[in-house]
Amino acid sequence: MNRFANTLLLIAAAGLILLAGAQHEGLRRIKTEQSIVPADPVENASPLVAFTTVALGGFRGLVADALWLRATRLQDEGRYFELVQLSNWITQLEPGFGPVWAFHAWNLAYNVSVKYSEPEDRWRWLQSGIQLLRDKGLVYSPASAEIYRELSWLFFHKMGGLSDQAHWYYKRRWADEMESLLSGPRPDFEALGQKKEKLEKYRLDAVSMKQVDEMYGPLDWRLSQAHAIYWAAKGRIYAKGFYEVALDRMIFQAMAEAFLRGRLVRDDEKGIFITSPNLEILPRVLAAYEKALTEHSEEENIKSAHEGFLREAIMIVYSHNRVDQARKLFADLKKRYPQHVDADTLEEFVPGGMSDYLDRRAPREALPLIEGALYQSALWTALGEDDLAEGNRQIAKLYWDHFMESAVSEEWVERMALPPLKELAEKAEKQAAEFLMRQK
Amino acid sequence: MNRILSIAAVTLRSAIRSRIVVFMMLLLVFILVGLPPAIRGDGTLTGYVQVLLSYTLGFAGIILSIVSVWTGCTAVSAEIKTHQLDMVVTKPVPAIQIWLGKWLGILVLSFVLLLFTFGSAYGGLRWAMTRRAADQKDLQKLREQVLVAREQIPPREEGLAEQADNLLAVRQAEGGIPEGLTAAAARRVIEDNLRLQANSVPGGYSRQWIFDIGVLPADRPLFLRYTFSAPRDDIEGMWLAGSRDNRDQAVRRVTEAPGGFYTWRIPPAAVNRDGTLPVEYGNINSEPVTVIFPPEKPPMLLFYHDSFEMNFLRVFLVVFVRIAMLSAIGLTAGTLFSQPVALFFSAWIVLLLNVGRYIQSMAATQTFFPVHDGPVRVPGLLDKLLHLFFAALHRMLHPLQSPDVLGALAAGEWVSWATVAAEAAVKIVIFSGLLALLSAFVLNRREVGLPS
Amino acid sequence: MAENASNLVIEAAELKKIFRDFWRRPKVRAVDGISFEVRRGEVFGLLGPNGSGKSTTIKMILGLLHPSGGRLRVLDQSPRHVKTKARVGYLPEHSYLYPYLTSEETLDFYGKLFDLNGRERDKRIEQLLEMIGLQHARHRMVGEFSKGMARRIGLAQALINDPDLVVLDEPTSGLDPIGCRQVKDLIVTLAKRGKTVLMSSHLLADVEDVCDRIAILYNGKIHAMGPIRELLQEKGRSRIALPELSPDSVARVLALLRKEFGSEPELDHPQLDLEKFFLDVVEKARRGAQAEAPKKVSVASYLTGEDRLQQLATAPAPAKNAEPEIPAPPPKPAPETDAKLSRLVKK
Repeated sequence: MNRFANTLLLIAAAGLILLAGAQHEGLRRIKTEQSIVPADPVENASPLVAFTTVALGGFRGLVADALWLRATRLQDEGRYFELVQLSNWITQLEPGFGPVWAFHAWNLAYNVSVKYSEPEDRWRWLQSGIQLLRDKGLVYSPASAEIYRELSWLFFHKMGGLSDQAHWYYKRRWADEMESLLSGPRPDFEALGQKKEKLEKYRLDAVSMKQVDEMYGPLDWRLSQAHAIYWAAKGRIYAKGFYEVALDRMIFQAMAEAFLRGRLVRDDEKGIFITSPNLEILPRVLAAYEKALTEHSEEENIKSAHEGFLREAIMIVYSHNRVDQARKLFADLKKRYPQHVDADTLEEFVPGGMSDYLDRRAPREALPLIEGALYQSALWTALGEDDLAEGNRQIAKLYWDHFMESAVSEEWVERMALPPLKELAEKAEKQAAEFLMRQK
Repeated sequence: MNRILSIAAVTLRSAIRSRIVVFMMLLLVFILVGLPPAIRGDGTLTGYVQVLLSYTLGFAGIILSIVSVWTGCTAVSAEIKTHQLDMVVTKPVPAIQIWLGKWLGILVLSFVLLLFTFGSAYGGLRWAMTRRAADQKDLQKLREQVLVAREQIPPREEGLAEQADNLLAVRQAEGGIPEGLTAAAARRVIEDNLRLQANSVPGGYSRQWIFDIGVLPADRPLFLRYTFSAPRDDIEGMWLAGSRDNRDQAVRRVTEAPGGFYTWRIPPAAVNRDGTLPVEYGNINSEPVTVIFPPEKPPMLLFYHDSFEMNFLRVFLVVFVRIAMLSAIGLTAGTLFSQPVALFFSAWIVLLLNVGRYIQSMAATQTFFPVHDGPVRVPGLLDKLLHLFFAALHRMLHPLQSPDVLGALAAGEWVSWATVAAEAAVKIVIFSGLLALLSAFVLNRREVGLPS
Repeated sequence: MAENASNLVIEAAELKKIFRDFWRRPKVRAVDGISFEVRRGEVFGLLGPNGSGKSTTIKMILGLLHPSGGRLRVLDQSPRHVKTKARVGYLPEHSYLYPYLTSEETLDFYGKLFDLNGRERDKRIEQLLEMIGLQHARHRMVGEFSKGMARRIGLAQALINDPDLVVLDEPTSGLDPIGCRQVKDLIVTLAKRGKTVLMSSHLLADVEDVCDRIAILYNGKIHAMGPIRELLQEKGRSRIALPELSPDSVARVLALLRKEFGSEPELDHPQLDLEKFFLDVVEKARRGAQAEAPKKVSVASYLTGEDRLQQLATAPAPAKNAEPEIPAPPPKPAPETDAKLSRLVKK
């Protein structure tokens, strides 16, 4: 009886081993597709990480899962202090798996940071996310397009965007750090190459910065858009398939942002810290869009992004009093996207974008737009930006004229007319002066 | 007593000689020395201290758990195998005294190692505070919110029970209870809904909670910890702490994202003379949005109870009690089974104790194999069996699970003497006592002289 | 059993031990229905080849195994009773002592298990260490001992509690002839003092020297049991020892015997006991080398009863209701004399 039972068990064991072996090929294929490399030692890994990845073997995933569950639980309970450490360990347990890095960095920079009211606390968590990707992720997984993309996104959206309450704080802090590193908006890249140690802290290298600046600039490196472009460009060489499109999109979106808000006007004595458009890079932005449209002609969202950019670019350029350039852009917009453009001329187009407010014929709808433009004009005048000042004044006049064109009768004029433009301009000057006084 | 102490002394010496124990002790030293420089907090001194406390004590606790289970398993089973226990069993020593002696020896070892661990962690903490840079705000937060023992109290109960009863009666009269739902379940649903409504604050409205504090030290601030949910980010709110006629009423205007846990520092002068503190939240969002304070996570008030050092001591005792229980489990396993089986069995018990949270959630689950057709999923036979199994497992394990005292220590939350006493009573007196009796019974009946 | 119950130290009736496997199926019948008694004050030998059931029987007597059948009483109680264990001393075949304890610590540990107070314990430890000749090694760890030293310290721990029953498994194994002699003398001394000794040994000469009664086991059953003198007696034959005779005298005696019995008598020279011969040679060699005479080994006074006699001499008269002391059995003649007498059996 014993012998019989033993024989049965042996046969069962052999069968199970064969079955397990049959799964091996499929598992190996999945691991390769998902870039989960189980036992290969990770390049550039610290001895501890290298040891752990090999010693734990297949249990790495289990340990990473257990830590992840803990991190989720702690986060739900509001106990954030462990999250940086846990994120570090989870990512280092699966160092070759790009999505893990991306998720944890995003979690720290977005989910956790907003749970703090103080801008300084939020900044710290944003930095934790950036450092996780830049200082660890790219070390263990230097060819991961996903990590580059996520890093670029953090600079572009979290730091450079407007949605976070503390975004101005982020911008100031980053500008301070870059100011001390680069000594100005555009460094001397040759001289910068000597500061290898300082650059290493941010994992920047002067040669790549110069190449990016030449290709996509001139960029103000004190602002986050330049760094978003830098990391996206660096990751582009590793990108395949989806990430080719994604990183290209990151580049031209960041470039568009650099155009719209990529010039820093700073005067610490007067308390001025304002971002304004960087018109110098407009040709390069347009070229980047052209390139993306050519390479990814099937992507509809690139076309719509291009159209949106052209619309904004026209307004920006016009507000800088570069009417001819604005006219050219308008012609290009009209040519490429005629079904979306109702206006026939530039002068119709500029107020046309605000038709919801201007065509309602209610002063309270139109006035804020006009006052806003006049305020901008007064502010730029005070800051010595004459082109911007004149451009905004022109826009205000266009708005005022467009509204007043609706005058149908004297009675309407009496009831609905706007105050004279000069009066509004004086009021705006006063407001701008008060604002500047408050910043001191 | 002499016999117990003699056996304890020999057990201790034997344990120290075990290669596994020596290795674990070296690992312990490595962790205590090597972990502090290697860990990362959230960039602040406070965060670092919190991670330091959690991780050094946590990892050390794991190692000491392994040591205590291992020595427990081998204390009896190894001696049975080598026949050293023959020389003790043939002496006039009752089996219970043999077991207690061995347990005591393991406890002494665990106590010394634990003392070393906690001492090192405390020393590391003080050293870190002198060496790491921190601004005033960070230091203040550390002193007021971490290196203290704060008692945490919920707001006064609302008394929704009567309302729920009335509403249930009305629904029953109207025939509004769905079929398949028992009266008790329906009442639970009604009460949950009432509680949710009470904790929902529509735009333009406010909600008040009363905290019964009692007497407080005049110089210690209080902390309100709260969370809320809302359908969008950037929720504006106004908090008021203290009565309206109190000139020291604290006011705070905030714009916060839902889902986070926020802490508001309230000066002690806001507390009323009668020891109560009313706290009010006003929803001041310009757009209509309702803010909901989850009933299961109401705003909690934390205030100073006693010092961090006393709390540290209490946490030490709770951890020691847990380790004592684990060693009793190992010792019992070693009495029941041979060495490898005892180790495997003990490891399983320890694993189950550590995944208690997940077993609890499984025990609360009614349907394990959900079917997504129809509005209500009725549990099938397999669901019921699984539910019964996990519920029974949870019932057995729940009393043996330890509260998260390390988390409380790192969060500056008070661990009471009552907690220590309850832990000691359940884990040592009752549970380990039962194990001792079981082991003595088995050891009396076990044939120690069987050929190995 | 017609014996007075208090005179029986071990009573076994139809004792069985069956070893079973995990599924409770019988695998080995190690002891198969043996019955024997061991009386107070006697030295009882348990003999048999390997696997005969000796060790199993001993373990059952000590409570380390449970009988599968039959009846077993030790000192009129269950062998597993704590009171029984307080009066039993055990020397196992192999050393199962804690190797990291010194000899002093070992005796101290077991002394504590017997609940001996500190002073008494220290006294006994001193005496035992002297008795077994290990004073020089009192601070050495038992794990470093040779086999002989390990046997000695094992014997000492078996006697720390002044037991009424001493169970010795291979007591002389690993000892040199001098050591063997000392152990055997000790066993005799213990027996004289009324202690009961149960021993198991493969060294039959030692068993012959000290045991009063023996049982021989084979395959779990007793195949021979009784007083050793009777068992070894060669019935139907006589032997006469004479001083050295001249060849003529020898011839005349042989002729007389031939005539008397009609068969050819055997003539040989009596053999000396090898142990005695060895000891004599060693003693002569020692005297020749003028080496220091080995210390006369003194048996611990608490074992010989000297302590007790002293106590009795100085103690006040016992109370009326005090339990009478169990009288020691009458002293037995020395084994040598016994052997000599056995050789002078008349027809």
